[in-house]
Amino acid sequence: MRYTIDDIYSSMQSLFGLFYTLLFLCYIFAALFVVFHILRYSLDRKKALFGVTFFLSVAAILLFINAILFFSLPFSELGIPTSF
Amino acid sequence: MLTFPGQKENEQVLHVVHRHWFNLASHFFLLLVIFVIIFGGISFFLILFPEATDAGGKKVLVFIQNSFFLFMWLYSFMLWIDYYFDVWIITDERILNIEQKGLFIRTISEVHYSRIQDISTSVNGIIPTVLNFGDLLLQTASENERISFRQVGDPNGLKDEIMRLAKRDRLGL
Repeated sequence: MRYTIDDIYSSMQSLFGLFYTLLFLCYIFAALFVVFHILRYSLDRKKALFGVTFFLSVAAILLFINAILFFSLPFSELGIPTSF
Repeated sequence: MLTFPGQKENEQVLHVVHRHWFNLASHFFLLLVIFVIIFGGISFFLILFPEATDAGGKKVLVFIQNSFFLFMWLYSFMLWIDYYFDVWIITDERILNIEQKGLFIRTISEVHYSRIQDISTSVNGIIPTVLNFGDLLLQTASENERISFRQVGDPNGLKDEIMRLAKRDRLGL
């Protein structure tokens, strides 16, 4: 069975996609842990809500931009060795 | 009015003590240095050598920058949690020591004024001396039990306040 360059690029892209999905989920879990701790253990409710709002708003923007940037990466141009 | 879980009826919170701000600032300073080096380095590189990378390469660098910024944001708040949720609550009846060690370890201990036997403070170093922060150690009646106030502001003032409250407790006021 012979693989074309397109097959290799497609596989690499899937692999990158998988890694990024795992990384993205890690970001989400870390953010959820932060929110949980702030809401659960804060002594001042108002400050807790302000902190969570501030944290989540910036985190959401960064995650959104990160996802857009990832999906705009030109994987086909990143270079895969054609000979070994 | 500030309240906390487990607070007794008619128990008043007198002071809520956190570690001195310098403790948090020192952790953030290191983070800031790393941030400037990486974030600034990439930006500088893109500005100074626009022809060195093609459009695809620039996108990769911008993605790396954003990923790093996102990681820094999450890590900063984890540092904040570790700092802010280490708290000592001084009430009119007891002292609570709440220690947040990382994200998943939290210990709470308390001592009533009647059990306090000894208080000692220590301020070590140039910066702690100038900024007036250090450690305060409460030795209780139990042989192994003691509560440490680590890196708190004005430990001597805090010691005086605790001794005043302990004396008031002994006199039944």
